[in-house]
Amino acid sequence: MKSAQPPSPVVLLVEDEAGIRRFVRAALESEGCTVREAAALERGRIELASRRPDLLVLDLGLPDGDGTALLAELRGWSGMPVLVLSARSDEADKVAALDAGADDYLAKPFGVAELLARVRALLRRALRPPQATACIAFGDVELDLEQRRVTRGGAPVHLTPIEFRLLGLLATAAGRVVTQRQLLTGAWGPNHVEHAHYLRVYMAGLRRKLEPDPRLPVHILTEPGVGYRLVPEPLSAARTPASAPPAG
Amino acid sequence: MALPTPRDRLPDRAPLRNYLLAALAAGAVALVGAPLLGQFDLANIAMLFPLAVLFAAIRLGRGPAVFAAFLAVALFDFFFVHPHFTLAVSDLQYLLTFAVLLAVALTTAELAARLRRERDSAEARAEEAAQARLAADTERLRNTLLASLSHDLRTPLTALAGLAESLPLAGPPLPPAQAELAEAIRAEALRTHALARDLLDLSRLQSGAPRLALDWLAVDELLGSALQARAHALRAHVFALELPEELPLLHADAVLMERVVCNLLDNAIAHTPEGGHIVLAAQVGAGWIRISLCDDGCGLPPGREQAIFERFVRAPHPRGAADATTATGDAGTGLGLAIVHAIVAAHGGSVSAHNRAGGGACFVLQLPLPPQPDRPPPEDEAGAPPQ
Repeated sequence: MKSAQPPSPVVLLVEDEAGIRRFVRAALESEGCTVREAAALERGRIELASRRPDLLVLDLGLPDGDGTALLAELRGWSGMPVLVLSARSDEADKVAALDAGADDYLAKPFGVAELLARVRALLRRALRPPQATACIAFGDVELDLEQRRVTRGGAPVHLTPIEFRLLGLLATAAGRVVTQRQLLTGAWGPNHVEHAHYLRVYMAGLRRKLEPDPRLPVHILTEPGVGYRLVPEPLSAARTPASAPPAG
Repeated sequence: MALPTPRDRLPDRAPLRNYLLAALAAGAVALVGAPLLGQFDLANIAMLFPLAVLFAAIRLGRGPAVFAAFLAVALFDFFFVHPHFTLAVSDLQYLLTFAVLLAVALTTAELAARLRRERDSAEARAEEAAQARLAADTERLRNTLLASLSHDLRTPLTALAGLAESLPLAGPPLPPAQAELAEAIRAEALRTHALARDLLDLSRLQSGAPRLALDWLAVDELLGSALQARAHALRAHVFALELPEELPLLHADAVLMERVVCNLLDNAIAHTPEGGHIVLAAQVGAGWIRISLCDDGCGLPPGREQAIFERFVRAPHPRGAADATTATGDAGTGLGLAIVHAIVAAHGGSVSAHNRAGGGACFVLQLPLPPQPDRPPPEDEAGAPPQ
């Protein structure tokens, strides 16, 4: 674990719209982050190399190019968390950014609460040692990835190997979206990325075994056209138009 | 299905005028040939007549050309072949000349007419291609315009909504009256944003063949994610989900289908008073699935059950549009049901609405079910990890 981590996380915001930069900065600063801004890819590249931020918030449509290009470059030398902002309603762009290494996305227009929930989840993961992810709890379900053990309300739950692999992929990314392609590749191998219907069948199985009401899931959520997201604590707060929670 | 061209195209049957002109052409050749009689070989004079036929074939059409061919033979026989001024022939070798002359003339007529037809259809094809190119260009321009207009509208609205929401972050907490105003600004910005998005989406959906990202979808998953997105707005109602035990997979665009269910939910929420009932149900038949959403709200205006799927048609809200907006974030653009209709139609399905006997409205979607895909292979419980 790095002990030289600065007390306030540094976030680099690459976004060409001044109005959006302004409110994202206000929201992030209220959360105790130090915010650096860049209005274009070129400036973003320089800031990334010189500041080494803890988190990158990246708009996809920039005046001097596509944010996905910067993302691909970044993944060549850093695993820092990246939150993509996408104005496009086209899910294909979001999926492309996620498959290119983005950790999560927010579709515009987004609220402050939603933004902060995503940023917190990403920073938490970045600043935490990896072995801490071996045990994950959601609802009355406890998952031990190392012991390959799942219990619900204290009683063991039997998962098939593929169900366990899928749950493991979702749990290691807890709070973040995992694309359909990532799940299919991880559970069945790279030759099965077209078999979306396998995923439907297995997700239904997982929900039957782990959700309080499998028809109205609160933990294993579908992101239509993108993938799935495991939400340890129900995120209803992020969906409601509530005012921003206090800093800290 | 050739388009009319600006150029005069000869009809299949040439007008009488063209036969007359063909006759004149043959006559003119005879006139030109007359002074040459005695100085030139008859065979050479005969060679002049195909010129008239060629002219007729190119300019007047196939019928006049054939007519000119026969007339040429007749004129040649009448004026040039001994005995003159009769159709009688003294020397039988001239029959061979007539035959050759006729064959050459008819072949010329046929070839020229075929060339003309080919030219005409090539022109028509070029014309059609130009029209199609123009239509595609117009469509592309329209979409580019709409997309950039919509982007230019939505970006500042995103900023506006966010800025209004972050007002309290910039200083001490706002007094309640000001916080309420900031929230109203945010809600209006989001509503305008939704309107710009809906207009763009609707124009894309209605521009011929919209692009669908087809994928296998579980119906309960589709309904579940829409309900999750509207969970907050549904809190004030009594909601029930009535699904059969086994549900098939749909082959559809996940994002668009979620939009359909969300729009129908928004509509039901907006038209059902608090505490009212909303029931989402599904029924499966051979090759189809029916998804219905029923409420016990104020129902549809009688006689307008289909009109509500048109743009900007709205039934009066019992709770007011502003209420619906704050509840769902983006209801009440007046385009929701038109979008539902367009998306369902793009998937080969149908949507209809009717009033329930006991009060309230029902919306029924019917979608085609394709043959179901293969189930995943059974698992080896030993679970050899992949890769």
